[in-house]
Amino acid sequence: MAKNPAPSPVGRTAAEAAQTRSERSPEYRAARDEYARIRELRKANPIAAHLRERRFELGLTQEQVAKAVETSHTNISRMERGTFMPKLLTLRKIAAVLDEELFVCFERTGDGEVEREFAAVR
Amino acid sequence: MWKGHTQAIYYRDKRGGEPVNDFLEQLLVTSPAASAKIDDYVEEHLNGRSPSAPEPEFPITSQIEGELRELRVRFAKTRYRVLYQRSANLVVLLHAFEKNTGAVSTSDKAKAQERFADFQTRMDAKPRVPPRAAGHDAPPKARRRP
Repeated sequence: MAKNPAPSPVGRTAAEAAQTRSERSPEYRAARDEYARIRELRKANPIAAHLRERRFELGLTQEQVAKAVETSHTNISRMERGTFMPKLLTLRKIAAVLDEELFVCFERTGDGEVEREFAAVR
Repeated sequence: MWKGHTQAIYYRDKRGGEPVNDFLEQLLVTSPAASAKIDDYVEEHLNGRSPSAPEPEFPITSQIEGELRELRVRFAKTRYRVLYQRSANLVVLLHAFEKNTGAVSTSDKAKAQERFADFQTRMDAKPRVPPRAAGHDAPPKARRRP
């Protein structure tokens, strides 16, 4: 009797496997949809995309973040849509709620060389 | 759809197992959103790229050793790594794990390297053809029928 040939080392495509996960798990599907929205948002407003992504992953609501930084839910919602740019100090408070620290980067270009300097917002 | 562009595929072992897919399936049970994020990163950063395009920059990916690279994914407070290597336009996903130490451990690196070596050996293997009988000890030719 002939032995079964060894399978090809080329397995399934990642896209194909992701599609089956999406069909089987509503939570997975919802998260993929959220990441697709964040990816689009990042093109227009990376800060808004970062805030939204981080809050989503930590399982916090916009209301919880708003309460912690003493601002309105509407403001958080507008920040995450990229229609409102908060002050640096508000952004620092939000970063703290999201368990992060805020830095700004000063960049200058001279003789074709890029120099960057980071400064913590305190 | 991805013809002529990179395509991310799972390395498949000799028994038919796909270790990176197995990892993602386990993660799907405990943290579906983390599993979704890793798949999203693979789709965004490894799939559908021009084969001549440079690798995605740090911090998305970084070089481990030689052509072995890591896709770096952070979900909330957990860090995940997917080790991969290119083979023409295929991006072979070799090993995935949760990262708890500073650098990728030697054993994780070795696992990915062994899998890629096996991948290449099996890809390069030609189907075995029995040698043609020849020489003085070859069996006699079959008699022709009249």
